[in-house]
Amino acid sequence: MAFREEIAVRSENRFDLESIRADFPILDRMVRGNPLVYLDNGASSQKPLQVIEAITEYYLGTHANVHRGVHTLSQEATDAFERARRTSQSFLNAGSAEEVIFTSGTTEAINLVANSFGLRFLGEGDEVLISGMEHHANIVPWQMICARTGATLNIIPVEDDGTISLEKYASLLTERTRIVSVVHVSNTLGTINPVGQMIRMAHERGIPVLLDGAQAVPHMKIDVRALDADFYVTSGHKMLGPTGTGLLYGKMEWLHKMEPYQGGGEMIERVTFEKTTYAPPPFKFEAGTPNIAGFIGLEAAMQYIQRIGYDAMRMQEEKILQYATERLSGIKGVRLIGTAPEKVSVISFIVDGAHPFDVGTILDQQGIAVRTGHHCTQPLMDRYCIPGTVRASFAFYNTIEEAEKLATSLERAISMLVA
Amino acid sequence: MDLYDPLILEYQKNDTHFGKRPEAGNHLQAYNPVCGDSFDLYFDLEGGRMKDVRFSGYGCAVSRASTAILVEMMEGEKVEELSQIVAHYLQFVESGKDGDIPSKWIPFRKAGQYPGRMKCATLAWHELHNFFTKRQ
Repeated sequence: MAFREEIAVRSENRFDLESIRADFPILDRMVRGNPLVYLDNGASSQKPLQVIEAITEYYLGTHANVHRGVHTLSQEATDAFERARRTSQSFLNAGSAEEVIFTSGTTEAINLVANSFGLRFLGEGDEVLISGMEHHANIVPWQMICARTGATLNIIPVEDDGTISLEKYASLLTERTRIVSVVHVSNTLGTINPVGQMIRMAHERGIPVLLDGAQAVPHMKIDVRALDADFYVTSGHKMLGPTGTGLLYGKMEWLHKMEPYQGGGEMIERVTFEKTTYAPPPFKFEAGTPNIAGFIGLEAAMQYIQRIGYDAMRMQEEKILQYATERLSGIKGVRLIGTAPEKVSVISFIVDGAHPFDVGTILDQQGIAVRTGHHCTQPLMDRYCIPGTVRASFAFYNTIEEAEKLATSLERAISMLVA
Repeated sequence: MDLYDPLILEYQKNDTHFGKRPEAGNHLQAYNPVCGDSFDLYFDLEGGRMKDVRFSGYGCAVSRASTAILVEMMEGEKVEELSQIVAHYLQFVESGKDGDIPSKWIPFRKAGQYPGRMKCATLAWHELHNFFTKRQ
């Protein structure tokens, strides 16, 4: 038996949906008289007790500010915080813990790279390449830095099924391309982009690549070294961790060359009024007191995921995705947006004659939480000539029964709105 | 699901005043960046009254119906009176201040009880309210 299959079998045996759901007490609550069906995991996942308890225990028994303290609590807090960094390192398979920078989320991580890399390496006539399915967080920071440096922002077009054409991508890699910054998994379409190949193609031309992994990490094992990504960014709150936590992996060769992002405490080596020298990475990029409890919670989230196993999680998500895709596409008037062959458990759709907000409100009346609107991907909505979609995003703790509830409630909404 | 009152479902399809009038003396744009709903209001002012009012655009059932009802009320109305009516409607929907109100307004008040839907009931009304405020 192949190694991967062996793992899958072992994981399957361990996957007990009932006990997993018991770890997420919020899933038991009622919404407007109906049991909650939480299908807005793409926006933010729910948190297991293990994460909540890790944060509570930290505040109850360990909290003090980290680094430079000579008292016991400060040392214990520092040890816990830096242990979370090492856990993050192994979670992403980074080469060293110093290559893992703690940020407030994906947005801050991209802003950090856009500024620190951009101000050092971008100039008049240079090009930044992103795709047409980026979240605003991977568009606006680059637009801002292009405006400051005179660089141009180029866009890889999105095909009708929600994929990227590698041929078109290749034609946009030019001698002036200084960085490629693309989404690993689309938050709106669910598309898994061929990022391994995209990185290889960019590297053949000596171009570094940033991957926005906010929607990938909740669903799949990330190995930044196998991908050979130059930068990999993600958010903690979409992968069972607390809000206000994010990871930026950067290859040390780049981190050394980049300027700090913000100035303040923590990030310095020596300060005088004449001159300041900076601490080495990762501290060079972490000014101010960090979100200590947040990263301790995030560590518990990563440990939780490792214990369940991505293979087992994915298997459950795939089952639901397949069921929901078949069921929803069979409903008259429903059109799926994003039908790439490689997808995570995200389904975006529109309903003929009904606005996403109205559909979302009627689903909420039945206890179902979905996201509606442009999902912070307005250029992608323009690409499909639609104002927005309804998006159901499933996590491994969701059930087939919940997907069925979505379908029957959607049928009810359509019969109300589309007479 | 009582937000979707028959009146709202009926008015979202009402196209009595639907259409563009680029030649109109006044053109307002009501846009909600959160959801992308966008309506254009066209009208002329003649002898202190609203004339030839039209609207176009796209939005959810609630925002479309609330715009249609506004436009219906605008046609032929005196500016001074309309200004008070609009202020009254916004107070009614947003703060529940009622008094003597047209029965057509009642379903829109429920929007405030639904997460994120208040703006749907007031989008075009706010734009017209801003227009009046700037004129003063």
